[in-house]
Amino acid sequence: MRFGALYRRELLIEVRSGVESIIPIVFFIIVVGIFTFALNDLISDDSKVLVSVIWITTLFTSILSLDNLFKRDHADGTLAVAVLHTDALVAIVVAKLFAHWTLTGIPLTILGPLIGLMSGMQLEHAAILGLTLLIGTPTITMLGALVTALLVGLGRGGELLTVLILPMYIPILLFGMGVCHLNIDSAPYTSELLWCLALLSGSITVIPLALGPVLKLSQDS
Amino acid sequence: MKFLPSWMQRLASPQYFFLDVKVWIVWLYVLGVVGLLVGSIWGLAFVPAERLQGDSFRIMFVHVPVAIFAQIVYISIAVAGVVHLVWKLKMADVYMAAAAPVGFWLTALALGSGMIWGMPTWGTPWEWDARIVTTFILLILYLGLIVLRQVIPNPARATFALSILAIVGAINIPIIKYSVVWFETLHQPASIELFGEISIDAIYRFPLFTNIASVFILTAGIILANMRFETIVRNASKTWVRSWIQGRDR
Repeated sequence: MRFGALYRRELLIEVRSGVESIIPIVFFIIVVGIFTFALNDLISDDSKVLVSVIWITTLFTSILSLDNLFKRDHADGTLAVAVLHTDALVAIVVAKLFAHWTLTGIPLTILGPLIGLMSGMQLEHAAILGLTLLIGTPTITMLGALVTALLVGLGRGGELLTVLILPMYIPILLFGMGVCHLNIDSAPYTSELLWCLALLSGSITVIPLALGPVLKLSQDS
Repeated sequence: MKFLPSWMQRLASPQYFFLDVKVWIVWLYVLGVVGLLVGSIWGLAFVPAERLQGDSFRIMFVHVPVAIFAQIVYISIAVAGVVHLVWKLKMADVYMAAAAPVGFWLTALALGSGMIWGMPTWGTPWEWDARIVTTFILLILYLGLIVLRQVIPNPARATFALSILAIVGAINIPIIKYSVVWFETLHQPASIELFGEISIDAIYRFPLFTNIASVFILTAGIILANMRFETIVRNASKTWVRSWIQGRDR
């Protein structure tokens, strides 16, 4: 099976499910919007507040969207078939995660700096926010997918997922947000940026391989 | 695993573990409690007050050992996770189940003693500061390890999931350790380095090191006792457990 075909399948399923596929993006806009409305004075004084709000909302959006990552495939048996394709399992998983990132990560990476610019953030600060989101969102998708896969088929999710996933997001949140804050303070941020990249490269290389056995075991119970 | 001595290899079997370890636990408890009493009484009564903090610094003799082992127990759980994934040792899973609650309470004690110390010294029991937040996250990580086992009914899957969660969660440990160096925090940086300067006066060093050693011994004892309990619960239907119970009754 070609990777492109797998990727196209995942995207088509998401897009044809209709409005449901853009719900996480709508959630993101609403939450950031409410925060900018509520913290209006703080945000116009200090763009660090807006950067933090955007980063934290990104985490919540990812938890919201990850809940459905394997649910549909598990329900209709696609996952059981995928698990049987031992050789192709990594490709299937990577296609799935890449499609998920395309539909949530990329929009957030574009929307985050855009909302920042609309709220009077400087162009350079918005650009760095976009860069950290570009590095951060794939990492978030990877880590989140691994924890979600542990719970496939248990009929649980939601609040339990929050407790299990949020601690895993702390490093990327601290470093990603740290880069933006240092940039706004016009301090050097190279080491924090390198940490973000280290987390990204670590998670995209190891997690797709770890997901195979995790999903395989989820079919047992 | 062939490089290990034979008495250690014996411990990988639940039956021999259960029988061999009982004597150790008694000694570890005795040694740990005596050491903790000696270190604490020494630290509380016989050591002069600190120049700037007065008497409130004495909580260090509890706070530092407990906080160190809150992190080390997590690392050990992650290592047990790796051991389970690589060698499929049953006892590695038993260790993960037994150590998670102990680590949870160590972290809770570290946070609690820190809060008590913070009230007179910082003027606030809780501050959303990098070290405190990351330690709180450690508490949530332990909670996750405990909850995940209860949520997944299939034991093989639960163990696998726990190993993965423990290993992935270990990326937080360096963040906790270096949070005082990397971020602006209220919490002071470490005074004891494994390879380097110790910026604590010699008078305070000895009770502190006594307590660190005692907390280690006591933690090991409690975890081993928990492991013994876990082994007998998991092997309740085995014949050796039945014969052990009958031997006890006689």
